[in-house]
Order: sequence, then C-alpha cells, then structure tokens
Amino acid sequence: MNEAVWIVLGIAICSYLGLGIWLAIRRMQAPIPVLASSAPIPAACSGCPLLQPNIMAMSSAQLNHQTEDERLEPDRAGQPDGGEEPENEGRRRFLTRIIFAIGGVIALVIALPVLTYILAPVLQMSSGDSGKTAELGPVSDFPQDKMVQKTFKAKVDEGWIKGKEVDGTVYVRNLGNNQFLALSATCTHLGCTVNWKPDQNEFVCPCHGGRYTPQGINIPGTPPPKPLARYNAKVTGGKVVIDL
Amino acid sequence: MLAKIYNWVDERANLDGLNRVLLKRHTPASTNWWFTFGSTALFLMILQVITGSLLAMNYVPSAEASASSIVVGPDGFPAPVSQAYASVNYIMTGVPFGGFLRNMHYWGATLIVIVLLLHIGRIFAMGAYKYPRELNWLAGVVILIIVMTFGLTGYLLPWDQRSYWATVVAVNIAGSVPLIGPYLHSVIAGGTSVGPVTLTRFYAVHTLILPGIVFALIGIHLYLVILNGVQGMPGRLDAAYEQEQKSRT
Repeated sequence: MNEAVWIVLGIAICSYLGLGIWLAIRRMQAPIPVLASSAPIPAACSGCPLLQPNIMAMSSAQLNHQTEDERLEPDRAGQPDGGEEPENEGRRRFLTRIIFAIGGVIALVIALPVLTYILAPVLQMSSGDSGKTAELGPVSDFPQDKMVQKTFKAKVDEGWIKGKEVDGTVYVRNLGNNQFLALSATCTHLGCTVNWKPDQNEFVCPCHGGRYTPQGINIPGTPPPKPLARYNAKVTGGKVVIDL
Repeated sequence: MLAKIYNWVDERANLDGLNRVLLKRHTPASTNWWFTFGSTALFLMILQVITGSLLAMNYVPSAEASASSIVVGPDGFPAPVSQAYASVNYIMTGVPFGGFLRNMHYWGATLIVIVLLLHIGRIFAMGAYKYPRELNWLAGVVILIIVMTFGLTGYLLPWDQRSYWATVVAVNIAGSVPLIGPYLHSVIAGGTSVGPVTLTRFYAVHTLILPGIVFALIGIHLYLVILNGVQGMPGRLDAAYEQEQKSRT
C-alpha cells in the first residue's frame, strides 16, 4: 500500500513539472500580443517598456526606467565604471552561475542523506518481516471451528529501544488440517478492540458500531474502511505461533 | 518565473535592499584567500547546527541503563549500556546515513576550531582588530570561547569511557581555580562529581543555551563587519572603497 502512495506522488510531481516545462516552452515560442485595438502608438511612446508584450516578466528596475545597476547600487549610480565593462560583466555572470551551481551540488549532497535520515521510519516500515513471533498456546487450546480470543505479549525493537514490550489481542479460529485464521482485534476504523459476538456471528466494535464478518471482512455501511489485519499463524512444536 | 516571484516578494519586503547590503556588498580590491576563513567558519557552524539537530532526533541524553538499551558488543554478546550510548549506537548502525551525519558533526567540530584559529591569526597578523574594529575583535573572542565550550559539552554526550574521563579531567581543572574552584566544579558538574546530572546539564547547554548565545554573537559580529567594511591587505589602500564606506550611513 505504501508503494502505491509513492508511485502516485511520483507521477503527480513529474506531471506537474512536465506540464510546467511544456507551458514555459510554449510561451517562449508564441508570445501573447497585448494590444487588441488598432490605434497607433504615439511617437513619444516608442521604445517604452510598458508597451512591450511581456510586462509581467519585467523586473521592477525596468518598470521604473532604471538599469539593474542603478537599482542595486544607488550609491554608485553615475560614477565611473569601475570594471563593469561588457567583458567583465560576462565573466562575472559566468562565475556567479558556476558558484551557484557548485553550491547547488553541495546542497544536494547534504540534502539527500539528511532526507533519508529523517525519513528512515518510512523506509523501515515497508520492510515487512521483523522476525519476531508470539506464542499463543498449545493446539489443544483451539477447538475446531471455534473463535478463540488470546492476548499475547511480545518484544519488538523500535529506534534505539531493544525489546520494547507490546501486547495485543488476537482472535484465532482453527480451520482444521493445521490451518489457523488469526485476526487482529484492532478495529481498522480508529483502533478500538473489537469483540466477537457468537450469537450474531460477527465482530462488533463497541466504539462506533463497526461490524466484521467471521472472516474479518468489514461489513459495508459500517465505519471500518478495511478488513481486520491477519497474522500468519502456524503450528510449531505443538503450539500455535504467529509472525509479528 | 523565478524573476516574477522575486519581484513580488521584493516589492513587499525590499529584497533588493537586503541583496545590496548583504550579498552584493563590495570588498576592497586587495582581498585574497586569507579573507575567506570567516565565511568558512560560518558555513561550518551552520553545518554543525544542521547535523546536530538531526542527531538530536535520535539521541537520548540519559545515563540510565535499562532493559531496552542493549548493545551487541564486539564479542557478539548483548550487554546493557546507558541509553545515551545505545542511542548513539543506534544512530551509527540502525539509521540510514546516521554514521555519515555523526562523523560530519564530529569532524566539523575539529575543523571549526582550526578554521577559527586561522581566522583569528589572519585578523591579528593584518592588524584588522584596530580602530574601528575593536568591538568586533571582542565579540570574536567570546565566540571562540563559546565554540570551545561547545566542544567540551558535546564531547561528553556519547557517554563512553573516553567522554567520561575527559570530562572529569576538564571539570577538575576548573575546580583547581583558587578561591572559587569548588563552586565552579559543582556548578559545571551539576553536583559533587560528573554523573548523569552532568550529562543532562551539558546536553541543555550544548543544544539550547550555547546556540542561542552564539547566534546572537555571530549576528553582532556580521553586523559590525558590514558596518565597518573589510580592511584589505595592510598597506594597500583601495581609495574608491574607502570613499564608499565613508559616504554610507
């Protein structure tokens, strides 16, 4: 399920970027003309930047009839050049770009490990098998075709904590032939513990009235969105054991 | 597109002003590679803050051992250790790039002291501590002391043998000061000797108190640098730069 989320997110981001790039290229190739009327532009207004098609793309310096230098360095406006000849200007721009590019590489090299470090719990979530098991009891505890409720205590590793105690409730049904159906008693709606009602032949959740079939499938029209989680149950050494 | 975003913010927050004062400020023509140590130190400090914050997401500043803080030793047998040590071990082995971030923090600490000493040496050799930059020099001295305190407090945090005994030695040296020695010792250690209380104390100092102080001081330091301008190589005066500095408010 987690993989699906990543796939959808990846498709959404790629399509957003792709659409943005396509629109930008189209705009560069076919600029939108501004004047709808056919009235001629007065001679005094020729060369006015306000009448250019891409007024929205102009910087505040252009709109204020300033040069880039005047805007950024009002102290130096009108002073002798001091090295801003075109050849130095090109060199300056190139070096600025290279420095920003190297800075970008540095930021990327730092950002990737940092993001992986922060997102570590997400990556560990989908690795599945924790290797821990919980013992539920001897096979004789589970008569054929009867729903038996068992609680178990187990130790799991979480973060730097080794052997954190967790307890859980599980409903087990002996299907015969050493096959067992082991359902988690945690309601998939908001996490309450469901109860097995033999007379109704259903699981009923006391919190919001959610109901499940004897196989743990959520009954439509009730709050739970998905079936009860299943544990892999097997018989080991005469005892029923579930994988956590 | 980026230009449009920039213009929108600029018209409301004067980004151009910030740009002109902070990023596009002029330096005298005689500056060379010796003048880069200050920026390098700032970059390393930012790196330490980032890597330190990330390490703090997984580190536990507790010297208590518990049934859940178990580390498998080199002999292959699990042994109970302090939660601090177990959390550092988890960072090294259990978290992706945890070892990378911890080592960056560790080596960054050494590098920042080296770069700061080079920076101080260059300022001293070029006489850039003289008028009107005396205040800047004083702020810098305090920053140096704080960076060294960062090192002292951070060294204890892994809570292994080397950390513990190094801290005991350092705190004993503080305790050997005449008159106020014993009081200094108990204030730094948080008690009669270095123990779990010291670890908590040092962690708070290292992650909360010292960063606050050093950010303020670095802010003052940078403000003074921009205000007074950069003194270029001694003996080589850049007349245009000096005139520009004088004419600025």
